[in-house]
Amino acid sequence: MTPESYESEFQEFLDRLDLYGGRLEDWPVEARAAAEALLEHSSQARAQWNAMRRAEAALTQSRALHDERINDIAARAMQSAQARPQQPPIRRLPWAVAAMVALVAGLYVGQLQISSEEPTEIVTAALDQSGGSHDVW
Amino acid sequence: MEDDDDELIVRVARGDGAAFARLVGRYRTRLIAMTTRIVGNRAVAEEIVQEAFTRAWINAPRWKPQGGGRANFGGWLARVATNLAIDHTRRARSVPLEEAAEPVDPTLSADQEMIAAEDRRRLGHALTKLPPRQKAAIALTYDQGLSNAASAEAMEISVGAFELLLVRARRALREAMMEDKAS
Repeated sequence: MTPESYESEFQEFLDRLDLYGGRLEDWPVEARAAAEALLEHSSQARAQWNAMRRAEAALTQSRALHDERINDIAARAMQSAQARPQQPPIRRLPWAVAAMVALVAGLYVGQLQISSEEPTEIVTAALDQSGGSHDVW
Repeated sequence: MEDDDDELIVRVARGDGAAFARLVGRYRTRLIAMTTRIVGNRAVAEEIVQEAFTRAWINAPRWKPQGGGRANFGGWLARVATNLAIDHTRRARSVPLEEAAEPVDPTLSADQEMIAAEDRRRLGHALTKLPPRQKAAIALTYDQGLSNAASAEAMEISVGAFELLLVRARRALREAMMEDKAS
């Protein structure tokens, strides 16, 4: 392996390490195989991988909380929540009623529209000026 | 058999305290862990989680079940808590560094436990330097155990944007561990 190809492979390993985390089991199969091969011969890669695994282990360990404290928090959360009134549910129209309302509204709006087969006065004047014929309408 | 979240919420909407207790019991630990990670202070995290549960109680009658139960409600709760935590962190820029929980793992030797404790201290220090949204990405992934897609939904961003936050956060933590080792 040339120094250039090692550098590019190492950089790719770091990018994947940051994307997928330190658990190689979570990596896509191909990427995992390449990572395992690199880890075998690169102490630099192993050091970075170990650093990620230590960070993740510390994340897991620092999550621990004492159960008693958790129970206390839960009790307070429930007390606080239940002292507040709940929102009334949102009432929605059944879809058939909503469709009927939309249909009636559509018919009403349709009636208001002026439908005309004739050109408007402005268009007629424009056609007259340009010598056009009304037959196009 | 465990009740589905959607079933529990229907009961909560009718004012059923026992159903609410079940939901609180189901999500409290992960939510507190996640929120503590973002705000860096347990007492503040507890208040935020309390507020998230209060919102769940208040809005239960308006909850629309989407199928799949737990993921949806859990995702909604995570979203509320994450947003509250990020808002808090932005308002109070100087978050005091809280002492991390110091659990003793019985499977570790005294030496290993000492190294692990030192790693937790380093991690805690590195976390305080992360921007709030990167902390949220770490918290949703490691404390809440959500997938990238679910975490992105909780943060109301695209999966790509979430992955970018997570990559940057992980890189910062990894480099912090490396720096400490070097020094």
